[in-house]
Amino acid sequence: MGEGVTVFTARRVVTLDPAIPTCEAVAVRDGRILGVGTVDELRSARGPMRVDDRFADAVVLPGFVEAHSHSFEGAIWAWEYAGFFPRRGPDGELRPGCRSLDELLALLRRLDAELSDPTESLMVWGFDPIYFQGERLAAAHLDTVSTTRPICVLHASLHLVTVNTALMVREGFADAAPMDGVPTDGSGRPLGELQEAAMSLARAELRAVTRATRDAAAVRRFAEMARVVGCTTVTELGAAPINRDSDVELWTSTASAEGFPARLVPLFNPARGFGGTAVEAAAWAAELRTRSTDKIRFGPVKLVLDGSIQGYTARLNPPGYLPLPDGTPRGNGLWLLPPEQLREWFHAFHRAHVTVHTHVNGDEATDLLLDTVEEVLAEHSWLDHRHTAQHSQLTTAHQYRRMAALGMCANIFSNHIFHWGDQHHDLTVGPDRAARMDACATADREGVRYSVHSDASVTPLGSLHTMWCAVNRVTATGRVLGPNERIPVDRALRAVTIDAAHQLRLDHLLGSIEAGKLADLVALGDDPREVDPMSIRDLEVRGTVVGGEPTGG
Amino acid sequence: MASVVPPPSGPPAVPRGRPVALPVTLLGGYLGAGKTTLLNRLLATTTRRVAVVVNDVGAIGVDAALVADHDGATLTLTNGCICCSIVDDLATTLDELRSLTSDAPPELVVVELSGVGEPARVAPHVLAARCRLDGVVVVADAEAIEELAGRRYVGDTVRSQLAAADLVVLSKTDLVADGGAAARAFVVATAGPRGDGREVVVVDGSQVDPGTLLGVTTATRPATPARPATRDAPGGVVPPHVVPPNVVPPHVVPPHVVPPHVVPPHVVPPHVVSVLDVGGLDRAALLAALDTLPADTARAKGLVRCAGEDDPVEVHVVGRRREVRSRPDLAAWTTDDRLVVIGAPVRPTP
Ligand SMILES: [Zn+2]
Repeated sequence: MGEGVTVFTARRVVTLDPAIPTCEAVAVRDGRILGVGTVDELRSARGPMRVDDRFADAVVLPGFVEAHSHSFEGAIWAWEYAGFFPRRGPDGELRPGCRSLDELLALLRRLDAELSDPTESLMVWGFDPIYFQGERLAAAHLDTVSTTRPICVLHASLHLVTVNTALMVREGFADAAPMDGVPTDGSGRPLGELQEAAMSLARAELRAVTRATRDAAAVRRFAEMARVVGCTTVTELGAAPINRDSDVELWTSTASAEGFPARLVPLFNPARGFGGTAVEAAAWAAELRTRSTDKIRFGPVKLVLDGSIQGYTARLNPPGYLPLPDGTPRGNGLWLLPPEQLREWFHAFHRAHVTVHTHVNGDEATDLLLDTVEEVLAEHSWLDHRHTAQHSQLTTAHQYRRMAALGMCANIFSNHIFHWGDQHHDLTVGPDRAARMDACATADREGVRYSVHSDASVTPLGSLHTMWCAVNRVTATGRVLGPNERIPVDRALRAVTIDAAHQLRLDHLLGSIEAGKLADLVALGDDPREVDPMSIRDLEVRGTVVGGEPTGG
Repeated sequence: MASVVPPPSGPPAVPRGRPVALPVTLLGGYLGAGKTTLLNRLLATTTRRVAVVVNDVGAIGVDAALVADHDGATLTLTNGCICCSIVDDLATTLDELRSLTSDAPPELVVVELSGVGEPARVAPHVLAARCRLDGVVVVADAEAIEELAGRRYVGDTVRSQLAAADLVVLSKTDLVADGGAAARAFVVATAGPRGDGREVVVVDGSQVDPGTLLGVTTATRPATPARPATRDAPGGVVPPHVVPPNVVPPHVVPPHVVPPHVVPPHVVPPHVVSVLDVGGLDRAALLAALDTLPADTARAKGLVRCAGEDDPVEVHVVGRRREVRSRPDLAAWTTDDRLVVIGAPVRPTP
């Protein structure tokens, strides 16, 4: 850094600035973009500059902005990944995944051998047996790895863990199920599966996961993870508590380390134990803005209204969820906030000109959000509020029309189409509503600016994968779900760059390559607009630049 | 692979060193129903160790001063939702509570749910924390409950809260002309029958001792040594009976056990409030005495001494749940020889 000017050359620079859509080089100074053009043009305008040609072969884009992720993505990598699909870790290494029970057990044996303390528990995460043939994972399998060391396998669905006998003995329920959600064999002995609330029976392991999210190492790994997948800005969307100075300090001091490889946008969520009044919460949100640093950008806040669709806890308008296989109707989901509390917080934040991101999975939750925004706008005029519907999974065309009229944004959970699309088709809402879930094309038709997201670690972090989901709408079993909601690649690119930055109120600094903006770039092996759309997610990430500095050395 | 632990067969192992399960009462009810008022009344009057877990969403909190004065512990759930977070906050919080209070565990943990908390969805998390579900108490605003139960967005949530209740406390009965009679009928109809077919018990919150509702008696009592039975009722049991309006028979309901305001003249509807005298009974006689309680007994609780036992014995009845257990961990506590029993509403005798 300093007085010098560096110019990054590339096979092509895709700027996301419609005025100058592509160019050959990007000049940077003091962390900002000095200009775009050819090297000659830049030199004649700005004088001598040092050429950095590390990306000369690559296609350079504005660094990806993930507008809905969680630092849990960093925390969980304290343990090893055991999912079905290959996944790259924060160290950049690709994990092949576990495609059979035997592969899982082999992984566990390897990890078991690495631990010296025989009582230290062993945990892996992301286990995803839905494509396996044959036996269901049980304690008996895990007991072949160890009969002394507690073992806990966290499933990808996040609604289930499987534990071994040693863990059940430690917790005193090896011989009888202490509650529902603990399936047993014929003799009443638990099989090792702990479902839903019963997951907490593996108390030490789940507490360790909770604690890990408050760990500086998790924040660091989160940023490393971002670097690996080409994101230069990632959000912590209101899951981690940001209620006091020490919480702020965790983020700002961790990110102040030399070469910290991404910018983080942590959103304050007053329901995470803030405890004060709505007005105090708004004052704290305003105060947080003043605590921003180069790498940590406070600003918007997060509220959560309902649950998830695959968990049947999202709030749906009629006709609601599909019935159970035996025909029994399913009840509606649950609210996480009373409408009065939503209104009180929303009023206070809106008056303080704080953008509110609200988790709404179901269309009934979206209705409540829209009613609330309409009310606060009638009471206090703030045109550029950018209040955003997060997930917005079942938002309908008429709701997008209302959102457009109210000046709202959406952040659409496109990854769901791949990861849960088949379940939505078969089990939760049925083929017709599944086909119009995560309706990016409808949002475009109705004039709502939107981003698309991973909700990492609910699904893996990675804007190329998220773009791929929004563009192709292919499910895990290969079905195209709702072809009329697919969007063009250049639209998807906007959704993971400039439009994502817009809803975070950072589009004046991030999301496109323009003179004056922060010099955050990603270098890809090829131009996503020119490859087969089905191979977008396979594009190589060659590296990122944050504030003009190449990350990862 | 070398096997160190015997294979999973043979007689069930006794859980080693597992502490006595903490009893947890879930306190639910829609925003503004009066949960916090009830809780504050409990904290202001009780001298027992009550731990409170508040679901701290927004400004609606338990009076900090009362909690600070109080012997028990208060922890805050850090998540508005205790049903759908990946890592369950309630179980973690209860776990934390248990370790914080391991030297002197609370007599009761009250978990105040958020205004849209659904007790039926939260209950499994109590069990997952290896606590005991003591009961579900739902507070309903006599003036607003009917309108709320039909309201857009939250009506089904309010109805599900009522359906999950062991006991419904009607609040703000002084604001309605009929003293809450219509609200009571609405609550009973909306809640539907309990699992055993009985209707839900509804009491007037302004008139009933909150400690009794939440399973803790409020008065300080001197330790009563076990003494020989001197009773007029067979088996040492004073038969449950209706306490007549305005008259609290001193020999049955001593003022220091049940404050006189428990059964005021205009309680709506009148409940069978009775006292079960169990002083000096041995364990078998105590169990027999409990068996004489009417099937529709709503609530009874106490820490008593049984003849021939060194440790105090906890008696616990909520709806159909009945438990009698030794509490060596509470050996230093004062005990009583009477149980206050709240029965079902009085029905006109045909
Ligand atoms: Zn999320």
